[in-house]
Amino acid sequence: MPAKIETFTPAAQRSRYWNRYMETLPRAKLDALHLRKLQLLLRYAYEHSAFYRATFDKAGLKPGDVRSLDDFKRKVPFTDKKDFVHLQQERPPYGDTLAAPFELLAHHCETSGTTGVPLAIPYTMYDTERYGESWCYAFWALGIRPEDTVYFAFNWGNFAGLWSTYWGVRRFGARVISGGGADTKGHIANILRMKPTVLCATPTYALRIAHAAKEMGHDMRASSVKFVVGGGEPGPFALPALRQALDDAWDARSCDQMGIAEIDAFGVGDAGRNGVLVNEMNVFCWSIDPDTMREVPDGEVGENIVTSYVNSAQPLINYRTHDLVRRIPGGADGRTWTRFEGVILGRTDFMITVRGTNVYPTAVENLIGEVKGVSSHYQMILSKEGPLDQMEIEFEPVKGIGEAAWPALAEALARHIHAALKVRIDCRAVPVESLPRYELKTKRIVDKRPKELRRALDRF
Amino acid sequence: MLKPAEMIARLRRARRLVHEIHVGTDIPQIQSILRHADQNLHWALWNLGEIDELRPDLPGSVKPAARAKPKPGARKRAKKR
Repeated sequence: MPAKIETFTPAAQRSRYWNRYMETLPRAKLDALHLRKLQLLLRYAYEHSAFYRATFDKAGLKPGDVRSLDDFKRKVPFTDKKDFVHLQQERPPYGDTLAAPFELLAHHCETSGTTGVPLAIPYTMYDTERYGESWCYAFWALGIRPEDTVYFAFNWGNFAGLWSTYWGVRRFGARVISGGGADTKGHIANILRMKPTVLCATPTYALRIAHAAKEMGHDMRASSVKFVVGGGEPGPFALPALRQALDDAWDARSCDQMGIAEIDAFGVGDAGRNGVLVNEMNVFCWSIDPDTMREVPDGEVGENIVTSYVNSAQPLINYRTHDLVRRIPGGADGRTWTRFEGVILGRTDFMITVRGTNVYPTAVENLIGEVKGVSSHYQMILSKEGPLDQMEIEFEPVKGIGEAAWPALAEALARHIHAALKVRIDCRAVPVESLPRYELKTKRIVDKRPKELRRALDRF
Repeated sequence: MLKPAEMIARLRRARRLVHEIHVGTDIPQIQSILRHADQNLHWALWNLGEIDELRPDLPGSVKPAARAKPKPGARKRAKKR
């Protein structure tokens, strides 16, 4: 047996923090650092990005005009994903959004494309290292250590969230086992054979693995897994019932990390397992009322506006996330970073999560309208089947289509949605004029999920 | 334990050394390794609150070594030698 090598000195091993200086920095000093970083970033973006130069010039803004955080909030224009997607479509792959020389690009990721066209996300090597670091704060706070082994129950596509976890595990020094290519049974066999101590999966899929294993006669509570790390959908630090279900299914500590693919995994989970902390070394966040566009104070729900310091290839400045959050100053355990209580409370643009995939009902609605034979009378029904969110579409066929043709019509609609959004949604034809009609605003979405498993402010 | 200011001074010195070797070699492998080393040193400084530039691979991102202030009497002693 090779001799054990200590990755950290005994003093470092005893540390409660990944970086005690920065995680406990007093607010005034933290804000001074933010201002310094924002000033550097504005200058960098103005000098290196055609998009930002044009945007700032149009607003009459010079980087030197920002002398305080208030200046930054008031003077710097908001950006939105659709601006970037538009520019990338004009001149693929990155158009005027690129701010780093092409030869420095080391990794290409994309958003899931649930709104239509995916956003391309370029990273330099250094960007990937810094993005991954966000995970390390959480790993350390939760008790995961470099001697742990992380099993990835994912297929390896272009999804930034997954790759950032991988970058984080590499940076942290733990061992990686890829489950790429395996189905649920394959993951179960891999976990039993290779004995990882950390399972990384979307929370609902982690539950599905445990349930499937039980049906195969394996109790995953007796497995080697000590931590279940989730991401990609509302997770255990947002939904106490889900946290309990995961803890029970694996006899492990379930953990959460919140991120936005094109920004960073900046919502850091900690041992309190209540919401997430904003990684204030990597991003600057503040909140607005999406109707008035004015800043909302801490403690009130508002749209999270993020600026990332670590995406030098495609800077994101005053970026509208459309996520509703409640900012609470200071974390537990002496940490001073802002907490998002309840993680993401809802969306300003009605996004929901089905089977780990973000789905915009408006995108589904657009697709429904494209299938010949499907009328404009339909409703989307959200429910819970075991651990998974489900969406079913009930629609009325166009008058005159015989009942015998309904199953084929439903299948055609399901295939059309799957082809565009990569999510399988059950579709069912119902008799003409059987769905409710509304005089004013039509209620398209019926949420039948248990109350405790819904996000507080889902606008349904 | 070193204090943050002491860590920062040593990290800055390390970056200057890395830079010196980088410009002093024509071995691609060594240059590549040193580039990663410099990124990590920059990241260590960033995470100690030393924010000089956004990305370490920009021209001029490694500051030249500051001239050491001569100690009082040093010139005199040198002359004597």
